[in-house]
Amino acid sequence: MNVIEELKKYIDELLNKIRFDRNISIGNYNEIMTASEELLKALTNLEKTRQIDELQIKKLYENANSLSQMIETIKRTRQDAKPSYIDEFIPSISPSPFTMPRTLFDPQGTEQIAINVSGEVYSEKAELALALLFPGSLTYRYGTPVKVRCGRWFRSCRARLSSLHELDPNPEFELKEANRTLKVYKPLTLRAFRLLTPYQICVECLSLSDGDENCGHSAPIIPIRRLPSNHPIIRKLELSRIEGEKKRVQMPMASIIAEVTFLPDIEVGIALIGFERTISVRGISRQIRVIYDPPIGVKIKTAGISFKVKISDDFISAILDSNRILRRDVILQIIANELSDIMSDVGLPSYHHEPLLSAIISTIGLDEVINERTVTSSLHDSSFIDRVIDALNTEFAFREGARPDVSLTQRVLESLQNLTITENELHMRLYRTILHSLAHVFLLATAITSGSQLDDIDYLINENESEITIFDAVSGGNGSSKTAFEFLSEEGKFDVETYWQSEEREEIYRPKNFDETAFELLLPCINGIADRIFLFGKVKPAENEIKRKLRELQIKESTHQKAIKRIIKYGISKIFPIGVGYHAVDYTNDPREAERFREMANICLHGCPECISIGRKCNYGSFYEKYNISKLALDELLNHNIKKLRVTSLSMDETLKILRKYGVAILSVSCVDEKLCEELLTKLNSLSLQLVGREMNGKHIKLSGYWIDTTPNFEGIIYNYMFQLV
Amino acid sequence: MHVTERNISLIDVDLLISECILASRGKPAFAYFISPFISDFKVPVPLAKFASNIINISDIENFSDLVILLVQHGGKVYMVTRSPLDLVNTTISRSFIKKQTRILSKLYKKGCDIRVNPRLHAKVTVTSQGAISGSFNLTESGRFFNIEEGQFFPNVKEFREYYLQKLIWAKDLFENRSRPLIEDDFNINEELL
Repeated sequence: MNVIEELKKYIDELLNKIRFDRNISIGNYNEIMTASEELLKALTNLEKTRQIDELQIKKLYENANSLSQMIETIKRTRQDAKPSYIDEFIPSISPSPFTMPRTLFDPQGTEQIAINVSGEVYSEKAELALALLFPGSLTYRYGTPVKVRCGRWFRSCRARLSSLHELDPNPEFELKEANRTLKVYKPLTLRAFRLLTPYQICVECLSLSDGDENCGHSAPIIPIRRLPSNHPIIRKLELSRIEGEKKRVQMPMASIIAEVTFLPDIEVGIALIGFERTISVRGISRQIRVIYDPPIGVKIKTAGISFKVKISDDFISAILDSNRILRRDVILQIIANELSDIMSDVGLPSYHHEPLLSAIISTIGLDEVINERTVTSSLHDSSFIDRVIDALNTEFAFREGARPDVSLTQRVLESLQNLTITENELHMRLYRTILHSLAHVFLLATAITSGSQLDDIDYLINENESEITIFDAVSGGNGSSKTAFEFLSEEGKFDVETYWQSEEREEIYRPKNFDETAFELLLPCINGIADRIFLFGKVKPAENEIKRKLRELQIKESTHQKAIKRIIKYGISKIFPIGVGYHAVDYTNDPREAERFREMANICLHGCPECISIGRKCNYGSFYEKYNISKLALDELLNHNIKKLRVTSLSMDETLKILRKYGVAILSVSCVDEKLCEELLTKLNSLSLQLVGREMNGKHIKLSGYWIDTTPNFEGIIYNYMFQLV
Repeated sequence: MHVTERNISLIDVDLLISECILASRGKPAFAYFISPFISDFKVPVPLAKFASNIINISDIENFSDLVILLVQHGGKVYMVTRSPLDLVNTTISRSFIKKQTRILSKLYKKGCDIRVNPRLHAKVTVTSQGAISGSFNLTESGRFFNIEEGQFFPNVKEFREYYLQKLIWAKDLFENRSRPLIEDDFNINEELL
């Protein structure tokens, strides 16, 4: 018997005695009874508490043990010469809710969404669910292929989600899309089912015959061996932010980035407005775009890094005036974007965008370098709609599947006729395109600097403030943007004495800095240079990298001879419009020849996967990406902003003067005659040798860049040597 | 040009990058490294910092990475130094001999042409772009820590005479007055150390 039970027994005995004691007054009796009841209650509680305490103490002991193990791990890891971040630190130092995944295979994030696969319910992190398990997607995550329901959408390409999935009744946030305000709902449960073989797909709208999407098209339904790939169309919106430390970058990037701010706390709304489905049908890659009604999404709190960039109005005006090809391409981008908005409003499927745009280009004559007034008057012409429909018929000689609905096409074209392209609109579009292209560059540079994947980070654009924000694409953050912010070049840079005195050698051996990576990405695309030289160049540079790419193109020449001849005949000025659809093909009724032509025409002028194209990661999706980026415009921006650093005279005095003033100078020589190239390069080398190592302003001159570019007419080559004071 | 410990490593790195550019153009590119003592050392980031769309030096961390990059671009690298076997019988620290063995073995495997001379004391670097001679060993101390002095002769008209003198001397030393490094030079008896 334990002490508490003995005490209880003793109290009971005392109470019995009191009940029969006549000397105790009623008042005292009541007080004693109340006190004894409380005492008994307290003893019972004590007994319970003792039992709990034992459990709690055991738990606390276990916790203390695990903490001590964590401390030991961290101590041991710190002693290790090369600690592994993933294996050693993360499991020890990332407490809930801001958790990093314990393994590379675990998803990140804190919000949960239930996935109901025909009764089996799986709880998934919201970020993962929105990236992989969105309506219309197919996954092998649960063994056999599972399809997340999205219902029938074949006519309008609109999937109605509210009746299929359990969504939060209150909207999470609001989003502006194509002049409309959309309410975004958080999905609580997404319903899915296991897909049964054989897999079949409609060649027209790429709907699966799976009992969920089944369309009613008369187009053939064909069996497929590989499931189509699906990518979500994501829109992001900044909801709130707290600003942290600010930094300025060094020249030459300072000519483009005005200020960098770290955002330790930024709330971002992530909305899925639809998805793109791609599949290769009968050897031809096809793509469709399905829009969700309503959009679904979640809010995340994360960290980010904001860049204020310098894109001056003067530059935009000057470039629109001087570069007529770019001006025409901007007009084409305006029409392409307007067309996609109208098609989305009218409900015409997005896979008709390219044939329709191709027909419009052919009708207006946008292959030629024409101005916006001619384009506007062509659009307003009374015969415009009939001519586009005629051109569309020719276009479909090369395409499989049904033609767009005539009445819907007419409504789209009627709306398009209201478009009037003004100087102001051109200005805005080019500004938007440059800002968006820069955002791609910064996103890629952040991924390279921090070692993250493109899926770990994302970007936002604030056009009014000329601001680009890169943020960690997971609630709680994953350190990518913080790493990029920490790795910005700082002033002072190199000094042997500092180096010698530095105790922390690790501070000196840093990985590549963000601004250096961004500058490299801003340099002319080597792929584009090779393409331009191959097709139009009069000077063939001897650089191995270019020669290798030229050899690849020469090999292609054996199979694509006709296509190449035709492209050379068209010239560089028509490269962008002739790459859209089949309107520029010399309609030979040979679809393979048409494909070869399209393949060759898509050279890197406004961007390719080797420079700024990021495909499905683009805010506009891979489908419309090419109408919203321009490497050519970025090249112009870089050339404009570093103009003051350039020396084109091969003059030592001039170079030293610029170095003294800005700390950076770029020696540039143009070469349009191959015979003179050798001599020019020798002079350039000789000058650079006389500069290297010289002392100036207490620093030394260093060769810090070498790149080649094509001349504005794409016929010659520009060699650039950059020098910096370090 | 006067070279001291403040700018020697910078000129070194830039000469090698210039050689890589030349090699990438398919031009003859070479580098002679003459130094009795050779060890690998980290190249501080601002020195390796280089923007290019033609040659990629993003992954450069050590000096040996730059030398290997040149070999990969088709440049020739000639080296004259002292054999680790000779150094065993001197007062040179054992850890340094191990370092020298490590770097020579690494460069030898990557295709650098290495020769040895037990009487070597000169320190010269010659590339097609210029020549540096002075007190600097090709080591971390020689490049960063010691007080050093020397001259840089770029291969330009005004300095061509001096440059050619260095080049001819280096070529002669390499070809006629040194023996090729062999695998046995790396077999240092641990007991002797």
